[in-house]
Amino acid sequence: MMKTFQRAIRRSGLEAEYSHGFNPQMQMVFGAPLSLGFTSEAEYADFTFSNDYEPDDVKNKLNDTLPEGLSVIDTGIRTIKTNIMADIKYADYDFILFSKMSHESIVDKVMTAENLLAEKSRKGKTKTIDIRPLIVKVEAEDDRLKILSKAGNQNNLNPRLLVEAIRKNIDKSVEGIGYNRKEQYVEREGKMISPLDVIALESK
Amino acid sequence: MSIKISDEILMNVEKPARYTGGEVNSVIKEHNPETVKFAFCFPDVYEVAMSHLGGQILYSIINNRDDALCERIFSPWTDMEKAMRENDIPLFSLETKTNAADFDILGFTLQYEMSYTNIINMLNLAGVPLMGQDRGEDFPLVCAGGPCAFNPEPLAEVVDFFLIGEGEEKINTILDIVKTVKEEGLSKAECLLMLSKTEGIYVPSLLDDCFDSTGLRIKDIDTVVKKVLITNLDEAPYPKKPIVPFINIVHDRTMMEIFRGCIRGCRFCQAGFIYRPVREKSPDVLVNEAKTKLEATGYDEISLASLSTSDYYALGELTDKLLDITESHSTSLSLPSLRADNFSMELMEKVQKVRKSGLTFAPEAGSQRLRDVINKNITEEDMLKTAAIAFKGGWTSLKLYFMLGLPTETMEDVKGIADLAWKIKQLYREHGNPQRKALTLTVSTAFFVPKPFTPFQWEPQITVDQMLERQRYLYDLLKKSKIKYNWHDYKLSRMEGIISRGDRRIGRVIVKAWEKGARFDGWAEYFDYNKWIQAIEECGIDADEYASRTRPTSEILPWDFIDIGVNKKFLLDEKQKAYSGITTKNCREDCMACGAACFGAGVCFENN
Repeated sequence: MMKTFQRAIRRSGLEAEYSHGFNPQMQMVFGAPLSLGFTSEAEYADFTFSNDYEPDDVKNKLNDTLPEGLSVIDTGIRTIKTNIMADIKYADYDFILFSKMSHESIVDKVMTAENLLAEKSRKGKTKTIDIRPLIVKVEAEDDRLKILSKAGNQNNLNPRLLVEAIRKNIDKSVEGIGYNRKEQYVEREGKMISPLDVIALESK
Repeated sequence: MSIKISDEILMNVEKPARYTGGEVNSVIKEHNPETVKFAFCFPDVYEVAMSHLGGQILYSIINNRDDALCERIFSPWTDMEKAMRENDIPLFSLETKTNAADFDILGFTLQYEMSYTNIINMLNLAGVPLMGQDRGEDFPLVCAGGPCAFNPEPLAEVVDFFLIGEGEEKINTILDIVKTVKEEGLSKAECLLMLSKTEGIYVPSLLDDCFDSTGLRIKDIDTVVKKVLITNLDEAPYPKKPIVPFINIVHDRTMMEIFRGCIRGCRFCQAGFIYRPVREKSPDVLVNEAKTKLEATGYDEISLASLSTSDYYALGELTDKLLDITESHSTSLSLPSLRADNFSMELMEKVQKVRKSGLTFAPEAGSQRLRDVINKNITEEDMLKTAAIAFKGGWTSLKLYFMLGLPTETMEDVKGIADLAWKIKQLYREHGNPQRKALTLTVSTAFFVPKPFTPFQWEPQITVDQMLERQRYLYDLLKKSKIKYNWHDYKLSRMEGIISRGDRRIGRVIVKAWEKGARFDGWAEYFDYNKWIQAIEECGIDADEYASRTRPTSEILPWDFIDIGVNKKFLLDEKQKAYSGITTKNCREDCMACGAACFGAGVCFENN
């Protein structure tokens, strides 16, 4: 994703700011990483340019050259120093869930559970963690399950891990497909808000 | 008809982006019945296939036509192949996910012999009969080109027609003929006959009566197929908008072909003969090309491609002009294939300005005697001098490439490899900075594979026992000196030795090996020597007859009917000179009248 945007910026003719090290890198930070195979309606990134561009100008120039399926929805100027990756705290996902048990009872069991254990594997090592504290809310809607969970580089829940936990603890038959990220949020004064709304707050 | 590949399948294979297409600058055209549909087929995985410059050139030429389209089809990796077979998904194109069997032409590029089983596998996945004679009117034409097509015989019964030489010269003629055939509803046989009248095109089925049922030649071949080439590279089309992959590929950068051919004439090197004469692009043309490509791709690195970068006639001017572009765009420039002899401090500093990559020398042989035999005109003094300059300039990593089993090689020559490596190691103590960073020195060896159209085309490859003996000997010597050693699998070299000078009978072995499950043979983790040995036995072939036999110079070789411009007399003279240890001057120093001047282009006319 980084590379795709770096190349798109270079093609667009927009002048990006580079790091000044031995191996200059384009200044670019993305929000929470998106798992392979997920679709998304809400990705966020900070770009640093060496010129003052109009936000709409950046949006249009990038959209002219981005590959199909990838487009910039909105742009704004950030004024504060925290980068988006460190700022993201929550994310909304939905996905299709196949199960024997009704979605309502699954949701009920997840929400009332005191803990929900799942095996997380990383670099070949597996460890058991309790994912319940990472879940804010789970809801059923048609054939889909919606989840609001913690996200970001401190606490993060991949919805696939939730499905594994359900399979292990609640309903052995479950399968999830069509994972989609709906939104990402930052936290300001105890409230969840969209990163683009932060820009509006900042500029006040 | 577009094939639907479910997310479930894609999610369960390694790197799904190998199969999804949709990259920037890929071209999607409507499939009209009258459009000539060409599939560029590369018999290896996406990352390798997408690094191939020739494919991008053909892709842009064909897609620039209104009456034709070109889409890409590559070998699915083994995990994807399994999923495709389980779910009855035929081989499909990346652009529109069209079944490979629905194209008019499947054009394979033959870059290395060990990709041949992948061609068979791709045809099979497409549901296309493997043998040309079994493909009726409803199946696509199968054609092939590329360096290995200079000995087309191992694939003669699979491929309908070969293009010998540079594809971009004749691709439009081929498309025109196929277009006419479609419009007039002519048969495949009529189409092949028309194609066979085009220069550079070889239609193997027209020679079928020269061979018996086992594929053995029984009659003289009176056809001559002359290679075709681009005479003026400055006017040759280049891809203005190269495709930009989503995933990392082998050469993930803007590739600039600065010239074709090589003035050197190393006697083992096929490329040095089949691409004669040397033809160069001028610096200004290249600078424009670089600008266009960088703007269209967004790449942050330019790499110069050729057989020997430092032999380019205006390298100083070109690098200066390219650095003007790259420095203002935070882009880096890399210069691979530098020779150890004329490697200058100045040039090194230029590359250094942006990024310091590793240094590689390819002396190929360990002793001066053997380097003279193979006409690798590099002296030990040159190499040590260059290494010293490099170490003073801060380089800390050096790779040395050699071949084992070159004609006339003795154990003394093998020892020469270890000696040279040792001297370079000592040199670093003197000129480098061992306190700050230790030298990373790597010696790599491959086994010599005699190739068609080289002065060594009659030479035997050393036997498997000899291979192991020499490799072991070198291993022990380098171990003593604590020098890192990488070696090639002797089994793979042996198979290359059998196939590269093979005939139609070897084609049967390839199909048989594929039936036994051989594919991705160029990949160590998939190459299974036993499958090949069994296939050879079952086909009743004597492998030594192909690989380790001295071929008499009077013998008619399977590729003799192809004319590369360089004449056989020249190759024979070079063979004799090799045995006498006499070197040959390069094309710039003196013309040896090899015959390549018949094309009326390039270095042959530089001084006129």
